[in-house]
Order: sequence, then structure tokens, then C-alpha cells
Amino acid sequence: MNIQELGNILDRHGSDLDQWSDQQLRQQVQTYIAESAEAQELFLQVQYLDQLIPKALFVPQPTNVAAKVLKQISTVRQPNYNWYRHLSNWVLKPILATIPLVIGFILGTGPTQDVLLVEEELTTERFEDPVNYLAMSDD
Amino acid sequence: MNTKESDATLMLRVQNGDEIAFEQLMNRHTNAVHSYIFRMCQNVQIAEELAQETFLRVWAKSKLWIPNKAKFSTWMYQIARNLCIDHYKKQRAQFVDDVDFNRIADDSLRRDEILILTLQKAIQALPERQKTAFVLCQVEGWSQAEVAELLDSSVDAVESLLSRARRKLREILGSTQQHQ
Repeated sequence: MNIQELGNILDRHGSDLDQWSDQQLRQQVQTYIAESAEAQELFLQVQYLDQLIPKALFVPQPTNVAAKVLKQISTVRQPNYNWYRHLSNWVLKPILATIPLVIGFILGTGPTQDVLLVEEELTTERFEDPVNYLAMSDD
Repeated sequence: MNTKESDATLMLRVQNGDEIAFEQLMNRHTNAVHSYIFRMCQNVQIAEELAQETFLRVWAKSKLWIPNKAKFSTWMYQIARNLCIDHYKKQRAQFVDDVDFNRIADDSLRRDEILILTLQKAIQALPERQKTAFVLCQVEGWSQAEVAELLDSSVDAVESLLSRARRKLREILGSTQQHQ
């Protein structure tokens, strides 16, 4: 074990070794801390952090939050969302599911191919016939 | 006989507009919700406002809660968390700006007080998910599985969030101690 690994382990499990479920890991950490001055310093720092956290996160008592809310709820409506749920489950979702099918059907059965063929025939006839082409020119 | 009704039972009554059931729910959860919000925003007035807003939304949106889909407390904390995130976004500049932790050091404050103040600022500066995981697991005593449900994440991810949060706090604490 090195100091970085110890740091990672302490970050994951905290400094209260008694709370650790993995006894083998606890023994390894205890051994390392006993042997290394650097590890002892790190362990003390993590212990100190754990002592400071509850002080840093001290919470003042709220003042009558519940009473203030109760005063206001008489003016707050409770909308009925059931119609929305039914509409969503039985109408909107099936409609959304069929949209790709409808688009696919339209694209698959549309007149696109025929129109292209007719256009191609007209173009060929007009510009590849030498007589027609000459008749269109000024000379 | 006075049997304590579960949150779910009370919520079903709230869905039918029962104010007494709602009051019981609030009495049960106000302190915990308020302390979570306060720890997220570190402001007395805002914490009270957001706690009030959380319960007003619980009342107004009670019919959106589905009993078998989520625990009531998880659903309620999701509302509180969303409010905190909205507040966090509005105050982003204030939270995200690099905090010069050394400037906090004031000779009139004792060493512990400086470190506590530093730690408060450092916790405030944590990314929102790290902060939520840290506050709920480390301080409020939630299990990692409960936090994972709230964050819609895995237990491993929550463990990683906690680990990163603690490492950051440890590094900042170490850095501040060196400068003292």
C-alpha cells in the first residue's frame, strides 16, 4: 500500500475504522498507518476532517415552515392529472408510434419514380434530336 | 389506539385534498427537508423559502406521485433537489467562482473557525451531484442505495461521488492548514 492508495481508501470509507465492513482492509490500513509517519499524518487529517464536517454543516431550526405552508395551501389548487395520464397512455403514445409507419408508407408508395422517368424521356427527346436542336439555334 | 400511518397512506389521503394528512406529512419531514436544503445552499432565508416551496409543490402535484413507482420521500427530495438546482443555476456565478480560501483567513477568527468556514465554502463549491451525495450520505445518514435512487444512478456511482467529494475537501483542508 502507498500513501495515494491510503488516501483513496479513506476517502471512500471515512476515518472511523470500526465502521468498516471489510476487516482485511482495515487490518492492512492499520498496519500501514503504524509503519508510516506520512500515513499517520494523512489519517489524522482525515479524522480532523470528519470532526469538522458536522460543525461546518450545522443547521439552524426552521421557523414555522409548516405553519406558513398550511396558510397557503387553501389557495393552491390540486390539478387533476388523471386525464393527462389517460390521454398520454391511450391516445398520444399510439399516435406517435404510428407516425414513422405512415411516413414510410407515403415514401414507399409515392409517384416519385414515374415522374423522374417522364422527365428523362422529355429531356432526351428535346436535346438529343439533331433536327430539333438545330431548329432551336439562330444559325 | 394510535397507529402511525405510513407516508404512502398519508399521501393517498393528500391526493384527495386531506389537509390533516398533509400536515402530518409536513410535521414528519419538515426538519429533514429544510436541513437538506440549508446544507445545499447555506442560506437561512433561502432554505426556508425553498422548503416552503417544496411542500407547496408536494401539495399541488400530489396526484403525480405514483405509489409503486417511487418512495414518497425520494419523490419529495427530488422536488427539493430540483428547486436547489434551479436556485444553484441562478446563483451560479456566486458558487462557481473560484473561492480564494486563503483570503478567508482572518486573524480575529480562531483556527477551527477558519477551517470550518473554509469547509463550508468548499462544500458549497462542490458540483451539485457530489454535494447531494455528500450531504445525504455523510450527514443525513441516507444509505448509498437511497441516494442512488434519488440521483437515478448506481450505488457504485454514488460511492465514487462521495469519494471525490471527500478527497476535494481533504485537499482544501490540507492546503488551508499549510497556509496557517
